[in-house]
Amino acid sequence: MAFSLTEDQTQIADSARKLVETQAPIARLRTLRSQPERWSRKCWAAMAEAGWTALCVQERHGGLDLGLTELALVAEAAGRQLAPEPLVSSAVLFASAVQLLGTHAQRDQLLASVADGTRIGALCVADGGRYDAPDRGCVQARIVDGGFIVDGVRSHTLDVTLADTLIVAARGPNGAVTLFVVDANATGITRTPEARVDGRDAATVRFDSVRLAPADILGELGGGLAQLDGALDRGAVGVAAFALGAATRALELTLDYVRTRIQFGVAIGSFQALQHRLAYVFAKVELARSGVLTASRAIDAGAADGPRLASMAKAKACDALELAAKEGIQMFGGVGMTDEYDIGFYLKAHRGLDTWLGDSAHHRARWATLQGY
Amino acid sequence: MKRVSVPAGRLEPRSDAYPIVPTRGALEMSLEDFRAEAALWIVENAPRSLYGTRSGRFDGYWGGKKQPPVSEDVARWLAACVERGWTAPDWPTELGGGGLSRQHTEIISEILTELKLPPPLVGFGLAMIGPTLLDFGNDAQRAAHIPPIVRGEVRWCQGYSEPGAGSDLASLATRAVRDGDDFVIDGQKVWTSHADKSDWIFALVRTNPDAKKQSGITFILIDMSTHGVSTRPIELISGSSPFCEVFFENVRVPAANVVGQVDHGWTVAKALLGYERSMIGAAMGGQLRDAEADLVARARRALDAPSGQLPSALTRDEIADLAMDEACFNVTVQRVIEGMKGGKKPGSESSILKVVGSALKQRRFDLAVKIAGPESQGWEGDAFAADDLSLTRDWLRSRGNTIEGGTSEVQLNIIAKHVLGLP
Ligand SMILES: Cc1cc2nc3c(=O)[nH]c(=O)nc-3n(C[C@H](O)[C@H](O)[C@H](O)COP(=O)(O)OP(=O)(O)OC[C@H]3O[C@@H](n4cnc5c(N)ncnc54)[C@H](O)[C@@H]3O)c2cc1C
Repeated sequence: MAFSLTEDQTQIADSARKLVETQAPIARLRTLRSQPERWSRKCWAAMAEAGWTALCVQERHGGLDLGLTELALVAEAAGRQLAPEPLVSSAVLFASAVQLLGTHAQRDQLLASVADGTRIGALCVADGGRYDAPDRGCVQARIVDGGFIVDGVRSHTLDVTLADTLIVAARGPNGAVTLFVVDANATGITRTPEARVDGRDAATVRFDSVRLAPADILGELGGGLAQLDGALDRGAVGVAAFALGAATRALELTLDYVRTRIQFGVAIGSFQALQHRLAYVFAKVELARSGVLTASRAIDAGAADGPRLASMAKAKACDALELAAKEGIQMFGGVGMTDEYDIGFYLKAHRGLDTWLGDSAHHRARWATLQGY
Repeated sequence: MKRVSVPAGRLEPRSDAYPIVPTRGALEMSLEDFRAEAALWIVENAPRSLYGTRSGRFDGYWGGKKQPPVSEDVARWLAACVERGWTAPDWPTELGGGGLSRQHTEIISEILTELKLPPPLVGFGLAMIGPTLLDFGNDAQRAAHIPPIVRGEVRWCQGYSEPGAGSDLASLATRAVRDGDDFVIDGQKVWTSHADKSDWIFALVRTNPDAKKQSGITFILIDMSTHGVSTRPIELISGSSPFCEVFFENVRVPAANVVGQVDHGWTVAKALLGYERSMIGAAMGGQLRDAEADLVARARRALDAPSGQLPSALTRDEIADLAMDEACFNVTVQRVIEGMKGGKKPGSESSILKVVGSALKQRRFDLAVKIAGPESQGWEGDAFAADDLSLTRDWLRSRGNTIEGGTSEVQLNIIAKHVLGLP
């Protein structure tokens, strides 16, 4: 398997980085966090314009039909500046779920607008976006008059406030879970925004007698959450790439700081106690990079070990981000604790990224299961 | 990774002479075709008794006059590979190599790993002094030393460390004084791995005591049978004695054995350390491949859980975490190898491999003894299974992984300075 980037891929990575640095610098998080819309429509339009939302969508639905390998490059760029736009939710999780499970009609109806960025899709299938916690069955579907009526509450759901279309999981009377494609503005749905540590868009979604038709089913009736595995693996790699970008940037910020901060008459970066720890962070980040590279390529190639490698990428990239952010704050000293410095954002981001789609411990357990122990 | 399927009924080695398949075509065929062709050749030529004998350690025949192959099959396997230039697949054919690329070499070693076959030949000749001579040696030195290395006739050891010069290698004090066409060498080396089993030593000696530390050092090749060279084995905490003190008393060495320029051996020495670290790193990649299966098997025995999910969540978590790190590490090794394509030298990123690979190896053994519990306490005798006894020894030996070839602390210094650009 080749891990070095092709010329095209290098170009995608370079221009993604430029886009994020000029149009989506981390500084905007300070203003976005107090606004009703937690991400910028303008930035999203620029990302869509650059093709990010089309990367994982098939050509005949208006996509670029590239793969996770390319998507990981732009997600990594976005992660460097912690761009809160719903790239992974809409362009990976939602797009993949529809592509993998949708009927012809559903794909025709949904994918083109996801690819051009005009439709925002998001998953609303597990509380807190976790798949490691037991399903509490809070969202129920009853069968009435050949259709469905959905009731219940799903909390801590990422990227739903500004979403146009949701994929909702609801438990039927027989206990089996069915997935539905639901208009986010349908009668009976209320989205109450939540304030999160990472400042990202999330809401508690309430379903009051929301009426759905059989045509709204995604996948099989009672097919269960496992139907989403393929989409979740892709999403995990997307999150991992984002976390990798964040970890890389957190390390860079810290390196810049220790090179210039003077104490005892010298740059603090000359102290070996800090140097060794930074070298260790660097090694962790490089290992995580290898994880993302191999997982994205394995999934693109349809390899049997794709799911296991996706779990690895997710766990290792989030762990690397945690270490980079914590060591960063420590090495910034007092200013690391202030809201004025950016390094703190990276630790806050880790809290959300680690939990989303299952934390590192969950992914290690999944790896063990997939390896037969 | 591509699996190599071994055709049934083909395992029996051919009894007739080794077929000589022209290697020349290999460069023209695709890598996939080469993989298939190489797998076939290996299956036809590797003696059956050697399958599965690679336990994942530094195994393979080390060559040299003092230690003959342990079995006839080991000798046959070596002879077959020598014939084809596959003891050093990417070295020049005129010196006995296979004339292939690094990628071809990787493919061959992947096939061997897959089949648990030992490489035909290992050692410091192939891994360290050979590449150094190819880069820095003169024609006479290459012609004299490379072919015997490739054929496994001469075993080499590394004479760098001294009692007063470990991490601070440049403070070494072994003296070499010019006398006519010779240098006369006096001094002592230490921690010289396998010195007592080696035929030649490549050593760093001080030729100019007045010059600044690094500048008065010369890289020289010494025949261990020269009068005045003696060795004394040192016992390790693991009970074995793989390394020695080496003493030089009035040892006369031809000046023609100097590699590179007199007083400028430091450049050569550093390049060699790059090869050494990538060897240690890559070897660890190979060794780590089976760690997960081994740990799971141990856990099944220790927890009395022959199948299904392991009953200890902590053990599952620790094995999976290690296995993930190892998988990422192995990909990192591949990234470094890819980065060296087109003849680029291993850069400072090779020291990431050393520091990470050695720590992972220690973690593997730490976890193994923890899982083995009471069975990990043996030293010798019948009270413990042979496999557990060797685990205990391997575990102790693994502490040396973060010391040999430059300590982890020194590696971290290098990463901090040369990769991260810290002052
Ligand atoms: C199994 C094994 C095989 C070996 N084989 C060979 C061989 O074949 N040939 C050969 O020449 N040598 C060999 N060595 C020697 C090896 O290269 C040295 O042991 C190593 O370089 C360390 O030197 P030292 O033992 O003198 O330790 P020291 O240099 O005294 O180091 C002691 C401790 O101090 C730390 N330290 C030293 N300097 C620094 C610094 N600047 N910053 C932070 N920490 C520092 C070290 O990291 C270490 O933890 C082998 C060693 C082992 C364990």
